[in-house]
Amino acid sequence: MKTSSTVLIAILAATLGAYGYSLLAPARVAPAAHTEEKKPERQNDHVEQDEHGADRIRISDVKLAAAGVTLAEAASATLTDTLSFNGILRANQEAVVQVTPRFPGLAKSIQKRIGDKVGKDDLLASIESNQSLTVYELKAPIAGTVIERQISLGEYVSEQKPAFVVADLATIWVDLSIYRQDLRRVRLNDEVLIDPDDARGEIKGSISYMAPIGSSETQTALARVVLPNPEGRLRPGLFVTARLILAARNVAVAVRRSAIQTLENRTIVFVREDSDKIEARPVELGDSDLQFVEIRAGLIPGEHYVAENSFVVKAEMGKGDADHD
Amino acid sequence: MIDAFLGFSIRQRWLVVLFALAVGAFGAWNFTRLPIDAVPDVTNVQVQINTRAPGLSPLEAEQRITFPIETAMGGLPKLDYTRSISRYGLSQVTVVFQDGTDIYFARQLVNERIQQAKDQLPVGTELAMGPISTGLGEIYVYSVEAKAGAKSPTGAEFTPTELRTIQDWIIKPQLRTIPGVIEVNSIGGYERQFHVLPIPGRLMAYKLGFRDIMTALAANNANVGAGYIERNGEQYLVRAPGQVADIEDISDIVIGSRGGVPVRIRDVADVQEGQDLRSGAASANGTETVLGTAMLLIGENSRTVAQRVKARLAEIAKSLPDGVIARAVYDRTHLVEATIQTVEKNLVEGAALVIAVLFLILGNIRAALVTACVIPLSMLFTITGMVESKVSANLMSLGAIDFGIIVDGAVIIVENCLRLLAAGQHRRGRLLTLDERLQTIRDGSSEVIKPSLFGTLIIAVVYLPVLTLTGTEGKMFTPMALTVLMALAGAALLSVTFVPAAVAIVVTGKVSEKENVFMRAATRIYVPLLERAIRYRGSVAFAAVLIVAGSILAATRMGGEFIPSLDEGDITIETIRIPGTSLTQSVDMQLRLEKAVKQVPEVATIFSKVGTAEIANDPMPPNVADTYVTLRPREEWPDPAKPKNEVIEEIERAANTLPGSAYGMTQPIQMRFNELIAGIRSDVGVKIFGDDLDVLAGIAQQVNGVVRAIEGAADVKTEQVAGLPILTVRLDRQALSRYGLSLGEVQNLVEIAIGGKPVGKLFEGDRRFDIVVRLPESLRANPDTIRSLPIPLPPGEDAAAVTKTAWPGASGTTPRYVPLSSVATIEIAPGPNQISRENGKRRVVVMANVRGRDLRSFVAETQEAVTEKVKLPPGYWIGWGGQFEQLVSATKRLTIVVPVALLLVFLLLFMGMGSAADAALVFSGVPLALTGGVAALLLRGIPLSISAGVGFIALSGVAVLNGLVIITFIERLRSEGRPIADAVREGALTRLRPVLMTALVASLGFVPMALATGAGAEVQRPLATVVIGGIISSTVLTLLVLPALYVLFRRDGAGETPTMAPDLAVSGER
Repeated sequence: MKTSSTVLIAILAATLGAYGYSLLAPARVAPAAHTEEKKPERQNDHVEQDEHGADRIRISDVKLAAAGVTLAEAASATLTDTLSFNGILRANQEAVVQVTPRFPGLAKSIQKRIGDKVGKDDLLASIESNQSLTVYELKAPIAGTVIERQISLGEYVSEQKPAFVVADLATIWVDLSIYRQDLRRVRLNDEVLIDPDDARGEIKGSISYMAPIGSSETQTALARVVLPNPEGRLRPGLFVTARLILAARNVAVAVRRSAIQTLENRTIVFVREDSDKIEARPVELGDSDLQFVEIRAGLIPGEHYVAENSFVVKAEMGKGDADHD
Repeated sequence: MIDAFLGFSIRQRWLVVLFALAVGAFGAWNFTRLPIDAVPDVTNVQVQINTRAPGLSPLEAEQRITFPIETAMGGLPKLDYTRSISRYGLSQVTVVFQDGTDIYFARQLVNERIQQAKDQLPVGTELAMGPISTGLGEIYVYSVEAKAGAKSPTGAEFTPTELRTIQDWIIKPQLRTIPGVIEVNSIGGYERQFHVLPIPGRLMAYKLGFRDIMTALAANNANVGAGYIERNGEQYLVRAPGQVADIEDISDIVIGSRGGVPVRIRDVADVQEGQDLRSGAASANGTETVLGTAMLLIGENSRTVAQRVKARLAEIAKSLPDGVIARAVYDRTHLVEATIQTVEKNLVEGAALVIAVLFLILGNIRAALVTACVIPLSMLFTITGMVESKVSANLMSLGAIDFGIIVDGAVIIVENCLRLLAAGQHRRGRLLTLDERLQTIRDGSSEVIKPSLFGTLIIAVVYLPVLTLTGTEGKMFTPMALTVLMALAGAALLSVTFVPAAVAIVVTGKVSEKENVFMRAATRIYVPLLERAIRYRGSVAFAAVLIVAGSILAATRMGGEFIPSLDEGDITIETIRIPGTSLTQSVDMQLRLEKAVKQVPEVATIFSKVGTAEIANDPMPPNVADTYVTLRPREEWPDPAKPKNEVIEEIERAANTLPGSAYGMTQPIQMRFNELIAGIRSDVGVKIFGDDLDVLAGIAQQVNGVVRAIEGAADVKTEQVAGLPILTVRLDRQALSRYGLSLGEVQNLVEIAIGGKPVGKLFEGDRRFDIVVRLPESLRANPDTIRSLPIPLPPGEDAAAVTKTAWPGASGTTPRYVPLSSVATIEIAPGPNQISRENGKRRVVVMANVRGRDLRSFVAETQEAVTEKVKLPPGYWIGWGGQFEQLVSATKRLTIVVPVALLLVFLLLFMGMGSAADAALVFSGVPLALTGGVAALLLRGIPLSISAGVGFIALSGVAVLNGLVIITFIERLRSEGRPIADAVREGALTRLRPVLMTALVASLGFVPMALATGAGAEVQRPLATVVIGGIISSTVLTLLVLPALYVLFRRDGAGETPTMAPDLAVSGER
């Protein structure tokens, strides 16, 4: 009897001991170990997909407003985009005349200096011909400015070398280099804004010539703007930048540039649906300007889309996947 | 030997008391050296290597920086593992060493290897080891801000750049000299830079390139020393200064000349003060700001250092420009002090309760005071031990000290001495002489000293399993066990020396022997109950088994947490946005978030760090922000009684009104620990190793699917490795060759144009600022303008001839350049966001938490399913990690150690009692005690945790002790030939006083802890609750069930050989 009771007690104690142990071992504790560790919950359960695979998200106007998101209505728009080019100012080559002595001889007197304005037939210099030893006059063939003088008093001049260059700077050429990828967008008579970078503002002009050949060296083609130069503001030889205003185009549907986002490699616009849902709608983009982008497909006029801070909506859609460690 | 000790102590009682006081004083002195913090430091031994590589994308950072460094770290002694993250412009390699490695030794090793790897790194990378700090390191955060309406010397409002300059050059240098501060980290604002912004058109007009500008800048900004000359006995030093001093100087640097006209920087470029391309930003209370973080050196006392920082900041305030202030936004002192207050309050109240109980039961105030003296003395002894063993004082290490349990030994001795003294007085009918008194005390002490030490030993033994824990839980709980063991050792030592000595000195007058009111009442209640328990012993035993079974059932259904989290008072919101979110966008969203959260009335301050700070010890991408929320003191709340959880919920609700961010609510220290320790913070992490990121992502997706399908999986997430939009400039080699351009030239140009390149420094006294060449903002801001970035062409063959024409502009000297788009395609596509590696191999992790089933079976099932369903290409393999690793290792260890400890206790019992049956009976007190613990947890709705587990451990010790006291006495009575029922009855009744007393002191000592609501209380609460509940049940059950069981199982006992060791039998005898 004693033995059996001892055994019984031992068994009981062992069971209880085992229970006590099992209570202490953390394995039991484990499954819910994470409950205290708060993690970002998967909060985008509200993101759903429709049959076309477009993502939708439920989000209220209040929430949008809090994040600074604004909506706009898709509508037609006039796109006026610009292209930028570098160019160089050149004297109007049709009004640049190299004045060359007709006979070789010595310069007896010189009337005009570089920079002098000359009228047509103004006397530039007198030259004593070597052949006839008579003095003949070298006259300005056009009215303009002396921009080059290669002659000094007493110097031997000949018909080999121009003595003066007279240019009419009343009009100036702006030669723009157009990259080939832009060529298709540049047409004759397109409006161009020329900035001589002299802090006096841009000058408006239009393209009057497109070179039929390209430059082998720079792989560009030339477009020319002829500008009036009444005050002599434009000086040949200086570089300028030009902005070409592409022909204004009316498009049926356009959205603001800030509305465009990419989601999973697709270009999308967030479109407000009737309820509190926003759809990430894949769209096909057309032309664009600084403000607007044409939508070729995917959006019809009158639909409301997320115009400003559209990234917030994208972030809201993607946040369930976001993680940091 | 113990008797000799006792004899000596009583003989030389004054000496012993003085010596004890001296030890106490030493402890008090040590207290000033004791590192104090709120929580134990659980950071592993790790060295971070942070490398900044401006402009490198994640792929390049991995290939050119991370890989060489990681390779160099291979084979370091005591290396545990390496892990790394490669992000935009940043590589972080974390080298983790085995626990116990000396951090300075580890850093030395790492540094040696870094030297080897350094040559392989690209030019311009900055490599630095992380600060010698831990997860507890960020002790003080201040915000540098301008007061409203304050004007800077220039007359405008202070810009973020100016504030950052003040932080970097006025505040930071002064803070860095504070002892204990290892580093001061800055985030926010912009670093001041001088920008040279070339205008491409003008450069082309002068036929100059970026390179010419850079060369000119480099060549015209240096001071040289030219030795000295001697003249008439004097020595003149010669120097030729040439450093630029301001924007004017930079603008006037000559690049070259054209036709005799010098071309200066100002002719081709704008020079201005600008801002760096920053990787992080900061904000506070809804405005952008600059944040400085003081970081604590490992092993320093966080409170002291934080106070020093505060004092120094007050000094610095005088030297700040008018209107600029450095305002503390986070100060660890508050937490530490609050925590210490909690601990202090608990300990003091506990001690007071213990003293009260002692007085109540002993009825002798002097004796009660002597016993109570053991409390501070053993505490001071413990503090000395803690300083020696480098255990810091914190919630966990001090959390398990129950003075009730600690003074148990002393109580038993004092009680017995009192009893004998009273008996002696009674017998002689007069006060005892000194010699008689000393002899009585000596007898009384030696009579119970062995059972008392024996009890202490048992309590100590049950703490042993805790010491074997490793890893995080080891770092949290080992100090706790250590302090308890030290306190027990101290108390044991005191009870053989100080206690008898002090009793001999103090207890001189008449000792009352009557039972006081309390004991009389207790006896009156107890007697009938005991009678009934013995009569219905069968049912009692059955009921006990039922109760135990019931609580087992209840325990299995209880919620659990692994390690309790300390309430730090402050809250952090980990704010996560999708990869690729720009810093500006992130800051904008962050400011809105701050304003929204600020609306919650309980919020005092809110501040955020977005992206990566100057020292990349926490490399966050721009889409991630840490938002710190400091709450007002409770008194200032609209409703001071509001639970903190509700406030947190409110904050979360406020945050969720803003779309676009995901939030994780955590706490500052907790968050840092998570970031530092874990690669994986979930329960289970499936790590996929391999080479190709796309393949890895593919496998990860499969694994994700498999894991999701398994029952119990929750929060299944794949590490975000992709999704960072990358604009790739893919150069067309053929096109380049047509133009005679070299690839490097164009790459260089792209680099300078978009990213900018530093070309020297501008000095202003001590301050130095980078001079950077970069394209104007208008030309680098968007993909379209990057496409048309002009690439100058080398001079063509006939170019020379053309320029020599008679007059300028005569021929078509069109600018010779092509747009970038004609030699390169520009693609925008999502690319790798970050590349994680572990042990030198790329890794993608699929993380999952487990809900509603146990972890081990989940892991087993998942492993099986993954092996079966996911086919891996050669060169790819799967590893397993996560918190379950810790759990498994902890479980494994405890599986062995807990039974061993229980066996040890049983052996001790067996040794003491000489009978397996008796030992088993005493041992049955353990499960009986546990029922009370479980019930108490259930009542208070506290989940099971390691903390509670430690409570159960402490409980087992006390429970065994209770049983021991009763059974030994019963055995003794039986050995005197008493019938079993009588023996049981009388034994139980006589032992009522010591059992009640030890139980009361042990449980009351924990009552303040169980009820406390202060900072840090939640860590101690489960432990205290378990002990209190357990002790109540174990007392009731030992007093009722144990006698019943004894009668039930030892019926035949009469005439049996007495097996009791006599010295144990008399323990606490009245």
